[in-house]
Amino acid sequence: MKLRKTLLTAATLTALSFAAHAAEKGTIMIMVNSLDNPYYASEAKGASEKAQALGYKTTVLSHGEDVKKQNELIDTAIGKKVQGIILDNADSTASVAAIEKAKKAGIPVVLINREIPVDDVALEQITHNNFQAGSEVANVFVEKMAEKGKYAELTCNLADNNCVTRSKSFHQVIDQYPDMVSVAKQDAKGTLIDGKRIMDSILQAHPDVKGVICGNGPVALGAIAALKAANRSDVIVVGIDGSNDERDAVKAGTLQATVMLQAQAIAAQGVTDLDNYLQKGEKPAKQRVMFRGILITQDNADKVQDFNIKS
Amino acid sequence: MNQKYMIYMYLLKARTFIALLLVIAFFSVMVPNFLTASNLLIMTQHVAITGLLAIGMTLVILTGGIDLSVGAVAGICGMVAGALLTNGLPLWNGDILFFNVPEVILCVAIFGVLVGLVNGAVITRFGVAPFICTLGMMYVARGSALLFNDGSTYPNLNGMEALGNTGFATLGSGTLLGVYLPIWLMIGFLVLGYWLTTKTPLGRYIYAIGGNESAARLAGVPIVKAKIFVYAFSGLCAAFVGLIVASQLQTAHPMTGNMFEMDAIGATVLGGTALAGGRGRVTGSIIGAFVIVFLADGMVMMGVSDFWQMVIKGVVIVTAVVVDQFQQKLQSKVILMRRHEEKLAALPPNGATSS
Repeated sequence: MKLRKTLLTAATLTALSFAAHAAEKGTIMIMVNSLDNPYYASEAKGASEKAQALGYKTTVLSHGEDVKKQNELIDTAIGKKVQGIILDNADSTASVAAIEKAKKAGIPVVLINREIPVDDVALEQITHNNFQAGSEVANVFVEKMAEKGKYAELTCNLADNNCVTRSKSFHQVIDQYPDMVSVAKQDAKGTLIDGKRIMDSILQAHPDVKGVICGNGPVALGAIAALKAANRSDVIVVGIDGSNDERDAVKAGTLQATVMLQAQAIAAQGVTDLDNYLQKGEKPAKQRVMFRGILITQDNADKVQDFNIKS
Repeated sequence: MNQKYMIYMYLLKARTFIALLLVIAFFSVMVPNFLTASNLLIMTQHVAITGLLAIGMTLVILTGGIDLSVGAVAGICGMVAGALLTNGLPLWNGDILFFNVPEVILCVAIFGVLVGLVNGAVITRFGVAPFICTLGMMYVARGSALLFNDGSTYPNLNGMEALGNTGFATLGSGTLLGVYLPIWLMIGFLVLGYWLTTKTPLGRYIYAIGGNESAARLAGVPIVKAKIFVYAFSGLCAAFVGLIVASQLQTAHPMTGNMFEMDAIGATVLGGTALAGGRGRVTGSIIGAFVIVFLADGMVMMGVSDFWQMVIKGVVIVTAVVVDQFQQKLQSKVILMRRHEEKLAALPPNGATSS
């Protein structure tokens, strides 16, 4: 055992201090999928910090991809008479009714990350360009694979539209190269542990696999854990998300590339537009807005922090 | 007639093993590379996770209880390991205590046992149904695991040379005699569980409580102690699962172990343990775990979609229980027939006509 003296640094709550003097603007409810996933946590953080800076109080909640729970939380928001809701919804089609309910109760809803197929229900829908993100990372993948060889695809969660879009964009690019052969395609449920378990098996079934393209970050990191355990450093791995853990993997060279989704930026944009609507009655110019994903390689990995690019 | 029944009986008793052989045979034909030493080792390494939980779960279910908290306990134990390795243990005077890896493993094991002890104590002392108590513990443990680092993971659990806590990866990925350490752990726990249930008075108590708790109490079986023991043992198994997963991924993730309890219960039931308690074997549960994991991994290698994998897993578990019920009926029938024959044999030949 080793004893170490360290200085205990006191936590400072600077964000609250300048929010205190702003006029009382009410509460904004921020609802995301889960707070244990760094992506959603950053989304919530981005929205919450922006809202507090603009003088709102915030409530951050998670629905865990459960449409029923999301519905109940929106009921609570209506009962509580919040000013507005920033929502990363639980399911694109099954969420429409709940959002409509909030709108009828006079509470504007801004959707982030996931879209719904109808217009004029949400105030605004801000999403990532998953197609562009998937295409960019697929391009790097093909380049690193030298346009040929056997590869596997680990999708993140095929029950999620964004994940399906990413998979489609991968194929849009990769299928142009006849020498790229897909030997396995599996859904890894978006988690580290399933990513590892499935990659273990794929490595056994197809020892000659040369690359893995992954639908999100945790799955890519799980695949890397499996490759590490099997002492395979020759396999190209790419992913999408851009968490700090992925950044470290890119820096270490185990992850060739990833695309950072601007989670904090879309959340902050959502809050700004919501604020404009609440204070000045201005509706956003467009109902659907898309943010680009930013390709992260070893050149710019240093700048990534909590789904934000430091300039 | 009787002979035929006996053959059926043996086949039914060995059904989990036969199912395992069928799974292996099927995938050996369908998937090249399935029946290689390296793949079998990798798959068995996966079995260790479900298997360890199933061993603890078997003891609990044998007493007629259930432990729904094992997955969440595995999650929080991983987080405890992650916190101890990354941040150390802050002491009251502002010092921070860092442990080396074996000490971390010991601390986490003790933590798992403590959680199990709380389960056992609440169940026995306050008369809470095991289902409810461990359901509550599931939420408490999962919530606490998320609270640990505000929902974030503890990444890169490699330790630091300066702190003397490197080498955590060995537990999950290290090998001894060419076999992964988690497999040795599973074998160790299997031997321990087998010895406990078959060779010790405690084992007899466990079966007696599950068979008929009131009768066991009247017979002087220390019910409270035996029950607290099984939950603590289950907590210990869960702690090791949490450690193994964190070590394999080099990351402690608070949602680790989500739904693991269901796989553990599935394996236990597949292995022929009755949910009502009093009947079942630890060895059966391990074979059950092999079936579930080999099936899952084999389907991945075959390229079966994840959605179908879930459907097939569910069908297999329910089928196992249907066959189990069939065996129970057949068994009581055979026993009745044998009694009848014994009665006939015991009667004098001329007395048989009197009825």
